[in-house]
Amino acid sequence: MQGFKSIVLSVLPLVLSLVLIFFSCTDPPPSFECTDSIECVTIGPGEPLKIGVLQALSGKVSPLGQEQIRGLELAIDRQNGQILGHPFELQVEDTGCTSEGGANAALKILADPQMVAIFGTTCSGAARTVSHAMSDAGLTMISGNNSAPFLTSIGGKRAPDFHPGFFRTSNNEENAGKTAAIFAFQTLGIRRVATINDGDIYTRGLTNGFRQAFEKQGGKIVLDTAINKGEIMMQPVLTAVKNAGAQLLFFPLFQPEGNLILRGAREIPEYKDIVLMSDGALIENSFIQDVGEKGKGMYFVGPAKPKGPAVDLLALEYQKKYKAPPGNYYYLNAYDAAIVLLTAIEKIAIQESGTLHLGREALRRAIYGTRNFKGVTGNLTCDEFGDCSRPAFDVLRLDDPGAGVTALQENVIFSYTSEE
Amino acid sequence: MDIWHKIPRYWQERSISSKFALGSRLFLLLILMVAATGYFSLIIVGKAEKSILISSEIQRLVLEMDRGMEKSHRLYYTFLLQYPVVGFEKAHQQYLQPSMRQIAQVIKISEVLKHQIEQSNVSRALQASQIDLNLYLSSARRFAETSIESVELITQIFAPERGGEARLVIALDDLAIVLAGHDALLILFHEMKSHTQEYRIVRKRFMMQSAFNVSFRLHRQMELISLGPAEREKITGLLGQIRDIAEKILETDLKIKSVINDFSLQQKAIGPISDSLVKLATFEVAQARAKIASTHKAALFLMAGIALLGVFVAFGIGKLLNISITEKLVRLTKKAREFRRGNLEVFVDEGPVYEGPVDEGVLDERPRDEIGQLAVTFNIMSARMNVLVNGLESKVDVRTKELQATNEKLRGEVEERIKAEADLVETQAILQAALDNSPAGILIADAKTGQVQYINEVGLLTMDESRETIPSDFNVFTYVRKFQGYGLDGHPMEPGEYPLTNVLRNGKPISIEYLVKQTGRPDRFMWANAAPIIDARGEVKAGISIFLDITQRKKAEQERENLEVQLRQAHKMEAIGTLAGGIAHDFNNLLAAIIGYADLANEDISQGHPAKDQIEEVLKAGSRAKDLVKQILAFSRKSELGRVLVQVSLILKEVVHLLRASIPTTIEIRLDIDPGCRPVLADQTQIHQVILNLCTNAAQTMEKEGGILEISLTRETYGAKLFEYPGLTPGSYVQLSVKDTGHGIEKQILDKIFDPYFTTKKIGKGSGMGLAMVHGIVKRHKGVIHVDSTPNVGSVFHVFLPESDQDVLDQNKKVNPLVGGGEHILVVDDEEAIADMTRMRLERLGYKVTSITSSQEALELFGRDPGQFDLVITDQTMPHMTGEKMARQMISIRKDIPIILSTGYSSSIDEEKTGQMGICALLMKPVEIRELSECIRRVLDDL
Repeated sequence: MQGFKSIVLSVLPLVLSLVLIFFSCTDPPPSFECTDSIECVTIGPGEPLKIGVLQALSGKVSPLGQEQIRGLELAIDRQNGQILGHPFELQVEDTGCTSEGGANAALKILADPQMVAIFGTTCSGAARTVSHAMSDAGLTMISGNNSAPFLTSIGGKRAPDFHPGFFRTSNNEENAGKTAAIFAFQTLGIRRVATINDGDIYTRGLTNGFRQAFEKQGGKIVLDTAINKGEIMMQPVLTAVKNAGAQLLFFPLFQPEGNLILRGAREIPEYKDIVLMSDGALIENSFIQDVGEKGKGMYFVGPAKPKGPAVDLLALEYQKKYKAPPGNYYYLNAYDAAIVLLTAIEKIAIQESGTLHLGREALRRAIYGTRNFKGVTGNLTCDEFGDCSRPAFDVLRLDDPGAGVTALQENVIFSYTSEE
Repeated sequence: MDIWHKIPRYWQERSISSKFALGSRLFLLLILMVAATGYFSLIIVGKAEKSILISSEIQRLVLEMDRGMEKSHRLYYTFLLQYPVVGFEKAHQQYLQPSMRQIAQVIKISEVLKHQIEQSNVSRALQASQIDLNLYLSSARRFAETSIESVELITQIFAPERGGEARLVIALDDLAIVLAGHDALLILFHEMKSHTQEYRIVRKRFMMQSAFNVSFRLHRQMELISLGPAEREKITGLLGQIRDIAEKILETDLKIKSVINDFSLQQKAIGPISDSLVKLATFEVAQARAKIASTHKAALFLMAGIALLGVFVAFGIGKLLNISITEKLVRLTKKAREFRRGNLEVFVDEGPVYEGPVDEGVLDERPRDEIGQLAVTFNIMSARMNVLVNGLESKVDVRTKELQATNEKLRGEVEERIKAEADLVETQAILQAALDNSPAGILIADAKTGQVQYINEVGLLTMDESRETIPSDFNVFTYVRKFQGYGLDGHPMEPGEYPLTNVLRNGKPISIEYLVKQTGRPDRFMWANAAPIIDARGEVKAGISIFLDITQRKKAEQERENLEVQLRQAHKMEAIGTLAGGIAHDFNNLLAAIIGYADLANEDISQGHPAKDQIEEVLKAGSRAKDLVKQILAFSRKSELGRVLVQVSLILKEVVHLLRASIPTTIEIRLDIDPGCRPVLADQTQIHQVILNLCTNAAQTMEKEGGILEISLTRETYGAKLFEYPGLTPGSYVQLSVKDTGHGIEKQILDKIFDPYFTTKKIGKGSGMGLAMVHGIVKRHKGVIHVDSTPNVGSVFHVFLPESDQDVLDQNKKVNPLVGGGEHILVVDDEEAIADMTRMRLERLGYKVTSITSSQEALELFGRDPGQFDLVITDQTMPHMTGEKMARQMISIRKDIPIILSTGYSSSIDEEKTGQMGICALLMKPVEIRELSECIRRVLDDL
């Protein structure tokens, strides 16, 4: 009996400590239950909030993408680099300004189930594939640069590439082509026009818009053709324009194709009498620097430049942070896009002792519910198709290439605001 | 005691069986440790092995997946290269279909892989690679989708017969046939065709654009040559067809390019993923192997260590048992053997050594093991034997020495006792002297019997006794019955309530004040303090009381309290007086204007005018108001109007009227006034006070049972009856008698009633000052007061006031004012209305009048020519300079200037004072015209 007692006494502490270790390792049950119709993202204490950044970061078009990222960075600075006590983690991917580039970059972002939202893209072509993929995956995406009407709505109706969860603070350029057409027909008295797109939905959207408005007024589209992205021989297409007897060439292209068209046109004597007009994608310092004096007299149609003290203040911050003036003003739209997104995240986040729970559907609903939000570009109200800004368009003329993009933006020849 | 001593002691104290138990428990613990080490090592190794298995599997799957992906891509590219060579359908069958099967396999593997990583317990890094795996999986799916899409696109262009290229070739051939014969057009056609062919080789869009441009030129050329309309239409149609097909090809090519671009992007994306996955898995395997090796090593060392420790522990325990059991037994046996041989002084080392006899109680002074206890028993036995053997002699020696020591001690104690007794006698003498000479009475009594054991001389004196008068059995319990004590609240005290009797009963110290009443002896206030005297057993043996006669102190206290009450009353009345005085002054000024102007108006209105009567009414009301102000001042006792002719009967009526309202109806008031009473020169207020006090006192004596209050006022002339009332001088008096049917006044206190603070009333009912005050007032008025009283019948107070030979003026009698003789009068009053009014009145009387409202200006005017004025009439209260001050200065300028001071009210001015100053007359506002004219004439005529 005594022996048994001593065995028990010796073994008991050992058993007790094993039991204690076992129970101390069991986690307490989680108290949060996700009721979101898509799903919830849970960010543990100290873990970062992940945002996928999809922009065009290679090639000639990269300055546009870079300005978008800077707009986002300025917005993050405003938050002191964190949101609800969590740092940001940006996964930056290059779309190469193509739809397939967008599709592959989107795959990289969507592979991570912790990804909360996508900030992008630069080019509408890339946005088309990204928007589709991210919408299927239940994410939210917001852009400060995409302006193709196909992505949201055309004529107040759902556009072919509309997908729920896509938002933009950049302008729906449905009326940009119209603005250019009215200006060409009424102000310049042009009746015959040739248009060139690059097959991308952005440029096609613009040339389509131009065609409809111009023909409606009684003008004639003598040539409606396309070039391929990456093409360098522009002489044949310029010859076709010339042959068609166009008085004006409307070529809403990106760099470098836009640059090549302009240079090529300047080498053909007959182009002396043909008016050249491009779009917002070329309202860019790098473009003006590249074409120099050859750009003189060229017209651009693009969204009206935002003005006001908030714009000036942000421009100062930009200058301070990057030690250079902004290359274009689309960083303002990017900034607004980022602020709208971050505000919505803060609004829907459920905090639970350092842990954040974010409902994916709730985030979309929060942005669709944005009303009269004071952005630097103006009051933002997001409609059911994801358009958050009310566009106005200006026609600009490049008179003094040496004075850079700012002087171009100030040289407004014609303005048009949508009837809405 | 430090730990190094505690452990051996603890060990010695354990029983042999528990020592053995402890040793075996230690061994058991060591065995358990070895087992636990082995068990945990096995678990760790098992886990690591599992991890190796999983990681190897992951590695295998990743490689397989990667191989499949690569193979699929390769087959796809081969398809792209081969279909123009071997034909679309064959290439599709040989390359594209296997490529698709491969990709399906890849998707399947990646799903398995994902599952594997999700389910198993792999490292965190490998778990994080799930994101990469997601990407891999989606890329694979996308590859499959885009492959199919691309095949469709390729089919659109390259399919035999129906593909875009085949249709383009046919259209071109058709056009060549139509154009045959038109050389100019044929040249352009060939140019166009060559551009198209170039495009088909390098697939650059601008080449097709060049073909389109040539086609444009061809159109133009057609217009320059003659062609039949059907021919022209056919050419145009074919050119349009070619353009449409070419546009379609361009569009499709753009899409194919995009797809190919897509493939290269996919490859770029997934290439690093499989590399990193393989690396991670390899790393995981290596880590698990390292873990197994280290666990083996650690377990080996641990077990070897424990085994070594076991050897040491076994040796140590063996050694310990040897020392603490076997060796001790050997030593004990050796000593026992010696004892057996006869050596009685043998002690065992394990136990304590005892000397002399040993008590049973010390046997087990601390715990020991069994051998230790045996040793103790052995040593005790040895010691006891020794004691028995040693002889009794040593015992006797010890006893003798002890007795000697006791004797010495006793002797010392006797000497100490003698000295203490002497000290005691001395102390007693000192105490006796202190008691005998104490200024307070001291009494000591026995607790049980109450018999007085000691009382000092002062004590006897205080008790109004002497050694002769005190009874032989002076006992406190009986002595307290000789008198009656009262507590300060008035309750009669019980015999046990006195301090000493209380202490003797309760044994608690006590100190109280009380009043002693004893027949034939004056009442005395006593203070006594008593305390118990406790004997050695703690019982109350006797009680001591220290006591003092504090009658004198009590009286002094009583007087002080009365004085304080008086002072408070005086302060209160002074405050009311100041207030009333202020009001009276303002009010008198207003009345002066009212009465003055009414007077003037009265004079102006002819007799029989209806306003005349109304003005008369104003004057009557004014006069009543004037009296009212006087009453206010009188009430406040501040009126220093001095003595005037007073009809006592009027005051008496007023007082009776007042009393009726305040005394109970059980008291009947009878009033008898002799109409022949003459006025007396007196202060109205004080007379009022006298009558009120006497009547109130009388009423209070009848308060309980009711009675008759008889008041009479008669005119008496005393000559012969003087002896009846001492202090009375011969003459005529107004006699006021107040008689009651109350309880009367005891004879012995009758001569004390006029003393200040003497009272028979309860506290709060009277101050004891009433009769003293009456006495004072009567004395000041050269009168006499006398009292007659019979107990239980009643009292009567007689007050005699000398009558005046003057008559009181009839206020209502109409007397014509005395007229002036053109004298120049300076009138000074800060109230413009009064100054003007006075001027007008005096001018009507026939005086020349200068009126001024500033005292300073008046003084200046006077100073310039003091001779021009015959009389100055001034108000007293004026800003900057009072009338009194101005009058002084005027008198200092011209000594004989007659001045009349009129005042609303001034506490600092009275007739006596103004007279001393040289002011001829003092008029109280409001002044009636008659009074004013009389005063002026009197002053002027006196000169």
